[in-house]
Amino acid sequence: MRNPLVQSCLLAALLVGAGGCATRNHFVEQAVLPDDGRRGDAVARARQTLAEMFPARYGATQRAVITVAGKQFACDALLSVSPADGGHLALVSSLGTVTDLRVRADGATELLKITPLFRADWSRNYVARDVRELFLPPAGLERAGWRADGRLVLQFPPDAAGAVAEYVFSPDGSRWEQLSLLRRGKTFYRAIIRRCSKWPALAAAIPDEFEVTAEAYRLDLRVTSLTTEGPP
Amino acid sequence: MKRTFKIICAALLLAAPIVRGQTNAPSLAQITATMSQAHTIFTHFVQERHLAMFNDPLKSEGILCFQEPGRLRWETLTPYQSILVSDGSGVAQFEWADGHWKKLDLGLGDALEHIVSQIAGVMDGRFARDPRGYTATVTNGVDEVVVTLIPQNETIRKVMASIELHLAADLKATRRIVLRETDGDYTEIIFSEQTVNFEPPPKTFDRAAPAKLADVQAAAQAKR
Repeated sequence: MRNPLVQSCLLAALLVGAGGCATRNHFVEQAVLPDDGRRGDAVARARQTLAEMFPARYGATQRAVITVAGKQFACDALLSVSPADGGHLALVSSLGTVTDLRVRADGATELLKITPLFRADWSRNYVARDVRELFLPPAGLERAGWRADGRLVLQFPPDAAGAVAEYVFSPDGSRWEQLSLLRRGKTFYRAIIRRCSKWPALAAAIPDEFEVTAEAYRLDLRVTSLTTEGPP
Repeated sequence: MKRTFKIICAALLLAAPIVRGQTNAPSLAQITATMSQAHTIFTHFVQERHLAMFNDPLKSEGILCFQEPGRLRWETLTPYQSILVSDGSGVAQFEWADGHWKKLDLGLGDALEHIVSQIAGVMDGRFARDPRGYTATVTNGVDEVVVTLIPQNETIRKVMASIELHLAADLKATRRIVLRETDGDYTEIIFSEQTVNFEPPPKTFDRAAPAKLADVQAAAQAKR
């Protein structure tokens, strides 16, 4: 029989190989109407919505289906978030631990476990990005404008690689609905919040189901349990 | 279903020279002979994967349904719903989302099928019939018999320290499996409410549209 490492390498080869040869996902660009400086209340509320979106300290389990090159892989994940340590995620598949990493509060990524299932750069570039963008939203969003349907758009200034994060909220700023990452005006990552739910011990509903489309993969992710740890 | 089964499988297929740890412990032949009398099994499971760097385990619960020689259904009921099913010739996986079952276009189906076939080997005691790569020790625990498998293969031993099979004292049921990894992580699967030799309804192991769990449960309960 194949031993565990051989099986792991098979998955690694498939995922990594698929990443290199798969047809890349395409995005329909969504125009942003210029900011007219009005509706300051909605902008303020959107900033507050994002700032108060998640508890400061919590633990969650997640179920994910990752689609790469048309093939699907189901995984479980453990996520632990705290102000001191940032986000700590372990991704576990039927074939073993895929990756274990920490995205620190300053945004830096620390790989805690590198496995044969996943190349280190995949963990660093893609998994860490999902943790950062979905569960560690930044402060300091700036006004960007509006969608034609009235939804509010705020953005985070370009990072070192020139990527701009564009956050879309409901017109009144009370719901975070979508996130796009763009480079030179082209979208390469889009997360749609499919559901928000109220969990025990939380005062408000939080996003707990995401549909992510990125360069060469799709991620359907949902939170399956959530607990708060210690004082918020 | 987790890494659990890959490791079980690796261990159980490669198998082992068997050592009886206690003179009054049953032999592996006795264990195999008793376990192989179960032609179908329906059991509840609780699985906990303990990661050394996390306080809380990844926990799931569900049912395992087995029919010899290689049909198996691993259905997770909480905290999410998922079915991994093998009809003996292939494997399929379904995820419950948006109010209905979605069949995955499964990657690595062959590897998963292989894993499933090894789970079947655990359930019917086949693990003892092909000893090659693991040493096994059989000991009597408190009201149970414990088979401990230690990998002989150096590569496997780098990731897996041992596999413990905890059997009922009469050897007729697998109560618990513990997979201990070398980095401190471990997975524990606890089985309960086992029914053996019931008649699974049609399509219990169907890869296109498996029977509803309620129908399978009803068949198992009818046997009790």
